[in-house]
Amino acid sequence: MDLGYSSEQEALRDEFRKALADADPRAAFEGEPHPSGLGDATLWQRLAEHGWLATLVPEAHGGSGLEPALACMLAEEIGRSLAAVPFAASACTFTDALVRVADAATAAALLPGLADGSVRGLPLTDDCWAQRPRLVDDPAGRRPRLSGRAFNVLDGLAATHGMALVGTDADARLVLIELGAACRAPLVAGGGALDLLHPCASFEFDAVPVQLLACGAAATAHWERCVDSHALFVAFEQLGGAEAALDAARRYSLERFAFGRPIGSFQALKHMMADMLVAIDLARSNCYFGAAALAQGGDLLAEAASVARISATAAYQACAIGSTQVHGALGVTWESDCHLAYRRAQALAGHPGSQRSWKERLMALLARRAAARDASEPRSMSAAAPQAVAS
Amino acid sequence: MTLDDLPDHATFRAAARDWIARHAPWDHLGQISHARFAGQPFEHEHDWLALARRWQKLKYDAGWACLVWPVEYGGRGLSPTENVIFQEEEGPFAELFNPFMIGQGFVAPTLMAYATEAQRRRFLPPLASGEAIWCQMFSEPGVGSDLAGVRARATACEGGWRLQGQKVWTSGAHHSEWGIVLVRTDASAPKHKGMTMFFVRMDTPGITVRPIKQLSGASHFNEVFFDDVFVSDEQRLGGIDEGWKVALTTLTNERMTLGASTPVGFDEVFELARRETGDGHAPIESEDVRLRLAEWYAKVTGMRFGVYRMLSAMARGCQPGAEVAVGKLVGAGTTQAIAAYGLELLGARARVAHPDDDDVRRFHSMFSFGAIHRLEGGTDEVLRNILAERALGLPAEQRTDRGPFRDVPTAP
Repeated sequence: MDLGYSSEQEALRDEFRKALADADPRAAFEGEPHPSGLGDATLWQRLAEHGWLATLVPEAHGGSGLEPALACMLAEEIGRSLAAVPFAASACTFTDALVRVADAATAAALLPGLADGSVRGLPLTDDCWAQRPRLVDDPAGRRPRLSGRAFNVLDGLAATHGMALVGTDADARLVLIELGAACRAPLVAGGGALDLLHPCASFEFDAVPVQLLACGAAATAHWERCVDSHALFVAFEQLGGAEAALDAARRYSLERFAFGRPIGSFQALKHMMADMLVAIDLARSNCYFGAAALAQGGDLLAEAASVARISATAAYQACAIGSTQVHGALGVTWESDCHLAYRRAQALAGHPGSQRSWKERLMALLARRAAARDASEPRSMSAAAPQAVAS
Repeated sequence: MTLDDLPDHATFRAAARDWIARHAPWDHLGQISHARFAGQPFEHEHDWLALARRWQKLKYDAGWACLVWPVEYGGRGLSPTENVIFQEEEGPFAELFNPFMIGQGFVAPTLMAYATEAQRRRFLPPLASGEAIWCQMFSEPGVGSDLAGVRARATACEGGWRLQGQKVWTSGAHHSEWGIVLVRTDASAPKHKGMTMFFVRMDTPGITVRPIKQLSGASHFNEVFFDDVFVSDEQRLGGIDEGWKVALTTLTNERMTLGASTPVGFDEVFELARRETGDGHAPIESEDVRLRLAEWYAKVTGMRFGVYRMLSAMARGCQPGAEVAVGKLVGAGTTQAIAAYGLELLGARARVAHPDDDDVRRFHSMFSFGAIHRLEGGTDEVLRNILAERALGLPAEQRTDRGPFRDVPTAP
């Protein structure tokens, strides 16, 4: 067992932090929007130039081919810097999934673009679909055609490709969708985004030709891995965001004086921040569990992704809310960064998948496990099962 | 990043599993499984202690006790990781560690740091084998979270010291052979500077131990009275008036041990929720129940992998920081919440813990344990202060007790 990053790996984190030093979250909503749909297009370009977008691209395709656990660490730093780029969705989840499922031609076609930032992919998870996707086989035997409606997809404005599961069981199909101009729903004027950093888009698919990646059980297995790993990468992003929010609260509480002392010396605030720290500590432990489970996949990853998502969501929300409270009236101004985290934490609580869906997924898993245990051994021994969590 | 055992650890785990399978007191498994949250069941305490001591002695003789201690003191010189692996393999039998937790977990590291080499060689092996149980006499009627305010005092005399005063909430004092005791030796110095630590045989003339009946009705902790008790100067740990430093060693180990071993009760409430009630439905069929259980489960894994994170950091040479306080803080509050929820699920059945109703008895015990556990070994509030000040670097509490101890205001 080794649940931590080595000093060499931590050095990579330091390098990445340098690359993120000039991240400009406000570029996402101040000034002219970039035609690419990216929030912080300058940062995206720089991450591409320095090879960070190719972290999970295999060496054979010109990338670094690092292990996904390291991409987790980078996603954490993206969260910490509030970087307005689709790093978790595209450079982590989509790239990881594509490398696992794509044939040689597809890999060769898309991986260079993912590495140089011109291709930006995301998984179209369940929470994105306003109208379930359907597939119709093309009578001419060419690509199957997809119909359906995806609604307010986070990072959708910048995405060029999507991955989705259509159908269930034997009819399940994993497909790759080009998110061309034709399928983009018109943008709603007047802003109003909850998350100001990751612009949404909606998509109307009307018999759009898509590429088949996998069928049946293989499609489901690839998709579960894709969704679980996405949940985990996002959980790391939430973890970094939570730490940044707590750090901002801590620093402000030491600078701001009231009643003749720093407000951080009042026990009400100390305990509030201690609770934020506790939430972060639990989230980090569950996230590391997930990073270790990535190599193994399957039920273990499903369990880890669920608990990481549950606790990282709780931590980010608690810290974003707490930090806004510690900052007082300053925290509720447009100029303060507090609301960027406050909004981001809330948006990520619902994507990928609602809290409810992750809790239900976890409980279904535990119920299956318990039933299997009941069937395989006498009840009195269940406490001694090596896999049982010591509680 | 891996959950797999390193090769050495896998070998160790296999050997531990094999030995436990052959030697653990399997014939008492039922009794042991029910002991969780009940502490040491007082009505059968003698039997329970005998069983715990038997298992401890078996482990000691075969080299499975106090794994992280140096070999010369009765241990194996292994890392904390092996210790956790052994506990995982022990499963329900790890419950039998309870009577030794204070002695082996908190007192022994204090002895290792401050006793003479001859004393370490004399006292540590019987501590490891379970033959000697030690207690820790810190709190007093007016002194708990503010431990540096102890008023029990030691006065120098010919050849040693005379102890006078009262300690309270002393777990296991009634079956301990030895104890460490923190007393005031200079009331004119500021409070943190005038204390000294001693160890003392619990049957020394002048010591009276009186059990305290807890909210559960059981008695695991005691009042201890010192009436002109003589201790020799050899029984001093650390310098005169330097007892606070010694106590911090004990307290740090207490937080770490409790943080890494706090039971939570998830398995118990999960099993309860899976069982059909009178209406033919199991509570877990309700979404509300599932959502709550999922939240608690995520805390359980967070605590469990928090220990793994700490072990991994220690294996890399890092010392654990103030974050070790998280485990008990989260665990105790979660237990209390789970206990209340379990009692709610049990409905009218929960109102009386019939002697034959194991479910209800278990949740009654858990309900009491939750309240106690949020206070012992550092209250929730003290732990939050520790996290805020030592992990986050926030300012310490403003104090009005900086001057000589005798001038510190007390209750009228």
